[in-house]
Amino acid sequence: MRANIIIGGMIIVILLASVIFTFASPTVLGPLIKFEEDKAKVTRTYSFTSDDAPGVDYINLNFTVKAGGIDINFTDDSSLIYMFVFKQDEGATKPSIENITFDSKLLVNVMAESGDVKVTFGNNYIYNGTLRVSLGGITVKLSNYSNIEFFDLAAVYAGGVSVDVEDDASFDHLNIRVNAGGIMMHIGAKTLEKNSSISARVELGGIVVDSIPKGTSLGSRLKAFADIGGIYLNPGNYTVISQTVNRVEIGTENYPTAPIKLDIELFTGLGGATINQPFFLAFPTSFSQEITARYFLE
Amino acid sequence: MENETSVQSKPSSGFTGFLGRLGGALLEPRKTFYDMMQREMGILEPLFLIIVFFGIQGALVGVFTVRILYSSLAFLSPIIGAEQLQAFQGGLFIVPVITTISWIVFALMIWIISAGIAHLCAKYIFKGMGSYNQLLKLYGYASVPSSLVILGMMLTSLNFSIFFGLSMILCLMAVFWTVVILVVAVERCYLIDPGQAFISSFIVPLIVYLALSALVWLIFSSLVLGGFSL
Repeated sequence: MRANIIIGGMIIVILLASVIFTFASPTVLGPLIKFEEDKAKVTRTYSFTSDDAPGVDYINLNFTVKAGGIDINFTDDSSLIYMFVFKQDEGATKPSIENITFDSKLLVNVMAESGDVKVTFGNNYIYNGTLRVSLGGITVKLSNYSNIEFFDLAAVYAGGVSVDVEDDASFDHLNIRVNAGGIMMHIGAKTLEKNSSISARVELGGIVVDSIPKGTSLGSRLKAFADIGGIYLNPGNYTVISQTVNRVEIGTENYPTAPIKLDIELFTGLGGATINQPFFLAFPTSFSQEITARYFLE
Repeated sequence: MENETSVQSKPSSGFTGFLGRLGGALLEPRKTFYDMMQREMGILEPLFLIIVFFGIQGALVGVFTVRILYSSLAFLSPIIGAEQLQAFQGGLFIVPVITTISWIVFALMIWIISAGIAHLCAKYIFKGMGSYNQLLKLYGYASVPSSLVILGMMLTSLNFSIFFGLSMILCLMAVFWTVVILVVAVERCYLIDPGQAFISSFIVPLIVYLALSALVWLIFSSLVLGGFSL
């Protein structure tokens, strides 16, 4: 009987310990999977202003990060040509940056093996060029300070590209390419400075366009094509121009007459696209919901 | 019956008695169950044991899940934004509540159904002489070995790579010990042979659960996979 009581006591101790453990472990032990955020980072800042390149008004970028991320923003600093803030692991190879000026153009070549870089551009220059990561992500926030002629944004092997277009952004064309991964577009702009277009292409993965712009002066049209996969569309108040199992075209009513137009073209090879859906509804729980086009492997 | 009378011990009450029954269910289930049957214990104590043992297991599973998900969801940050991610991560703490409740409900269902199957088998196939209520009470004590599972889960949470193997061994021990207690409970309750008790308490319920699982899987696959092929 005594042995029974001792064993019973031990069981009670285990139970009490487990109750304490249940409440304490999330805060005391923290997350089970820890990413190496605490690893020592080196920050390197490179900036170029009008004083460094007087007479320049056009910037051509050739920007490559092999593994990491690029975060692109625009500010109202009219003298700023660029500011790159690299965060890299200690011991990582320094990025190489080359500035070549000819006439009124500045060619900027940037090459980094790894790291995250925050890129800030000014509002007084026209920007053009290619920004690519071999493996990683690119985020672009196009504010009213942006002035882009053509941007080619690429996740060469795998990763993601996120684009946020705000009111009065100015760009001619954005070309977004992802081999394997995803593209996220948030177009909150009701107005744009000029006619603009966006092409997005994912070979393997998905594209999410969480809203389609609809302003009085802005007419929008979106074409989406999924080679093997599905398009999950909420047309909302937009006009469905054409629609087949794997091809969708929608637009705003004012598109033909609008003074400023935005054209969006989406292509997914193997994967899917969700258009005008909140993110957490983007991946359907019920296939009977507002599916306008779907095409599954048969 | 003479043997059974000879093993009857002096009844103990209160918390000491409770500890004795917990330990006794592990160390000497035959004698402990006989004592309990003689004293006609209520259903509340076994019910309490099931709720506590499986509630804690559910909570530990939930906390473990949250600790995995909390940081691994960081990849969503560029997609849904840091603020939304934080809100989403904060909401994860509902997970242990859900797992605790579902574990308890599931354990209670298994408890009632398993006892029912064993009762039908022991009573009507092997012509035993016990009652369902009596077996239900004894079956509640079969949850005691799951304290080893709880110990294993805690150790795994502390250090997955070091303690995972040990936890698996503890789980296997708990399963084996639970089967032994179930067999003894049926044998004591219905006064049938151990082999018959093993069939009633383990083999038949196992067959029933496997058949049910297969049925559920068939229904699920025909509904979901059938839906996908549209």
